[in-house]
Amino acid sequence: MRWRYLSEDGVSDSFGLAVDEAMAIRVGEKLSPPILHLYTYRSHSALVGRFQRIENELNLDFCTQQEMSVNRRPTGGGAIMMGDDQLGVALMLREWNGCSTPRELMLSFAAALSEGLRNFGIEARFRGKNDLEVAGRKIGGLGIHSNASGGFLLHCSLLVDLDVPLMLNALNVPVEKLEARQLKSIAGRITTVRSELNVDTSLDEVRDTIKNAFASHFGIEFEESCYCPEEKKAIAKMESSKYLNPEWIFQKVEVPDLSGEARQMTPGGLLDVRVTMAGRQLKAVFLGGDFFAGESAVADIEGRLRWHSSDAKKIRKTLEVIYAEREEELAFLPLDGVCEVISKAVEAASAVTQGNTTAYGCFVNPETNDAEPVHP
Amino acid sequence: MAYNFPEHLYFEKKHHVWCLPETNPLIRIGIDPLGLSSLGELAYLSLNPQGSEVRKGQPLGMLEASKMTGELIAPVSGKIVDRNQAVLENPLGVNEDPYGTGWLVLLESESWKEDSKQLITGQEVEEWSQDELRRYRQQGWID
Repeated sequence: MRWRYLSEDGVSDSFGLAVDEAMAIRVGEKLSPPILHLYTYRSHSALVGRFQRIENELNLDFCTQQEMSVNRRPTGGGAIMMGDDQLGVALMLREWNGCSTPRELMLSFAAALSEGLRNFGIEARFRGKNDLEVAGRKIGGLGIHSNASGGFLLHCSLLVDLDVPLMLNALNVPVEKLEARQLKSIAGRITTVRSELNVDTSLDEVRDTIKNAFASHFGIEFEESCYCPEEKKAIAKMESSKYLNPEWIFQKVEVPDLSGEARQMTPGGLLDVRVTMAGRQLKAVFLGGDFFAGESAVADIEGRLRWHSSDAKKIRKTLEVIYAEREEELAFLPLDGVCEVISKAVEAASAVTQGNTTAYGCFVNPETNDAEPVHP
Repeated sequence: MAYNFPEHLYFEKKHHVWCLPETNPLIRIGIDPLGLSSLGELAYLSLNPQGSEVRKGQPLGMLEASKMTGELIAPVSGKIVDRNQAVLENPLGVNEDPYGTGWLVLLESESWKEDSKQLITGQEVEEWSQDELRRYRQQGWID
């Protein structure tokens, strides 16, 4: 079977987003076979998730100063920065090998990406809702969007490289208030292809490797492709009506953002938990304080609680699995204590006004406190 | 989650959306438990404005759930006369009571008689829902 392959560089955010959505609709309408689109954005664009408050998530003044465009993705998750060192991976399809549920398709998509990275010797794995990680450090943010035609758009922002200070400034992270070690902590939870390989791998090399991995994983061949006149028309219509439309980009969200914090002395030391929530769904959890625990185990807890129910029983169930897997690393951080402090942070969460909550970036945990874990 | 499918409701099979005809021509609409199991817990929800027209098979809103974002597909055509403000502010309410307080919109349908021919109801529901439950379990999508 032959799928279409599109490769582009330096596209505007409105065009790139319009291509992915318009072509996913055409694939859903069976007007096109599945498509893999590997591309880069013009440096730089800051893109918020489907339902994020753009004023809250992005430092719009900084973006304007830097001539950084801003837009809103159709996929969910946190804000990202795209440019010539971040590979956009978009797969548009209806189903594959009998799989037509979002979760099944997402797992296949993540597996293909992981296979591509494995060809470089990088061991990545998919975790939670949208994280592609290497040893607990995020290297890619994934998303999936379904449309009325039956088509799916699966997207990944794959970090070939990343200017972390620029990203933190563009996202609403209060960089000037953070100490060096806190910035180091944020940077320490992100990785890139180049930092993993310690060489200046070209984006084209990454692109070719990912393309080959997708062909191998899905058992297909790719045909180099371009847009036919009808597709150009559909893309232009999508771009002008949606991704160049301020009503889409700056739209308001009815679900309130919440944030809360709780501190408590546990037998393992001081535990400081911060949560950010969308309504009653946990968007992110950060564990800080002064306790002994393996760094990757703490990152694992935070990763698995992203986009997780805030229900105490469900949180405990998830934590029990992690504790069973990482008994030694978490031996000095009692499960009961962690559950209790997270519950208190959730209880403490209250609605925050726009522009006043900690930004939830795709590659940023909401750390703004002074404490940090002490690792053995 | 309980996977019950009341026979007095009408179901759109592909997207797992239910319809409840109320006082003619009003149709209440929501997502059934199997549809929700594919999505996961809802974090965000938007619904088209009150007074807007929707067409069968076209989006009547959008959602972000723990597994994906996606369009909510209208099972019938009509005008949105009411939206569930409670779930707009707390989308998790849809997961908690999908057939009750978790409804989404109330539509004024001009073509219910025609549109409902493509939905299933009554005795058909039992056979379809059992097949769907079997399929979801075989695929490992539900326990």
